Amino acid sequence: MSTTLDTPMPTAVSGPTSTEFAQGFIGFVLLAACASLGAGDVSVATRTLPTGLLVGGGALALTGPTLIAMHQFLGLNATPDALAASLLRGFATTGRAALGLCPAMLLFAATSGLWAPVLLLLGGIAGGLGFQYTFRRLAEAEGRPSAAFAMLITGWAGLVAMIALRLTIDAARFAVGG
Amino acid sequence: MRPSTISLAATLLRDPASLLPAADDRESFAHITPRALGIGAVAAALVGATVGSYYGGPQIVAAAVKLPLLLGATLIVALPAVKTLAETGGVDVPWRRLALAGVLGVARTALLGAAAGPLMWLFYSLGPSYRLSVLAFVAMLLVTGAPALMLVGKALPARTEGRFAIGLASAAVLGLVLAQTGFVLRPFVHRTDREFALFRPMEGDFADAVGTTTKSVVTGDRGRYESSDLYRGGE
Repeated sequence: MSTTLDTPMPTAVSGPTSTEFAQGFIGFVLLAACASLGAGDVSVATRTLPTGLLVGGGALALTGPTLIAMHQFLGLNATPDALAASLLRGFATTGRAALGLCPAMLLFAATSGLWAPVLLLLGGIAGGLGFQYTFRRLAEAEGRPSAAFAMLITGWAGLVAMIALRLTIDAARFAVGG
Repeated sequence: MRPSTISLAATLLRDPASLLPAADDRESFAHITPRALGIGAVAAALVGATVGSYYGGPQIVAAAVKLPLLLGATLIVALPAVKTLAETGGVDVPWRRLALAGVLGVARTALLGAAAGPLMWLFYSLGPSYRLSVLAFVAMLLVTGAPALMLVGKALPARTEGRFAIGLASAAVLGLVLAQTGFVLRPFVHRTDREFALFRPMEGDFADAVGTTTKSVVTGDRGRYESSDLYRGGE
């Protein structure tokens, strides 16, 4: 009986609306598109276009299933649906943050040669804050996060960071044609 | 909330955050925003004129026109970023509140800069070197601009999750945009040994300028500094 009483109640987390998801998707593409205007080379600019989506979407696609599987394996509270909804909300919010950074990216692409480092910086800002947002939604889905949940999320955060870094390097090589 | 222009200027200096609730009321917003914009534009023009006095003549007018443009353009480019970054904190900050915070921040920066104007003028009248004059201008912008950045941070509701990180990221974006916009609109401090130029060619970017200036200051290598295309005609 006490086990039942002590069991934290997971919270239902709704996923993003289709509009929010579309805005997020557009944000990833548009940030890279704004940056590509500064490339000064059509082939580099064209190859830069998908890089934002490649890193953001790729990191989510490669690490999301791992999180859900490990979460269920450890017998934690949140349902797979709620975890998936939290991850998708995180993706949409990160993309929307990237959308707001587009005017700043455009300024640097149009007036300087800093399009590549600024794309990395602004992408990092959107990604970092987006991850923070995702973490909070996951904790919300979990209800009362346990030590096992905290360890799982910490490990997952490391995995996301390493995979995002790997994808960023691949995307950069692809963009410059290396 | 319908303060007169004078009392608005006083509130801007004493407690600008107390004006933020005006964003929730359309009439107060419509009363305060244009006045704050006016105060900011006039004060920024005074700061620009002071900075332009290092070269004198047409540069006084040019810098007086360009400095309000610099602050206004920075707001227009960076505020969408602040809004969407705030969304990662789980809050939707209304455009009116964000715009008011930005305008109040700019007006406060300009007012503080104008207050420092006589000191700047005195400094420039002593004929300091060009590099020192640029550094003094940048330092003045940093000192007067930091409170404005904090005001934009205060526009985020207290319930914002990760408020510090979002504030820091927003400040970084605002700072970068201000630096690059300033580079595009240069020169503000004009070299006295060069012909007057309203704008400099678009070579390089502010990072190149910072690098060249730093190398010049650290190594004392004026040759490298003066031969740089970035500095022909002044910053």
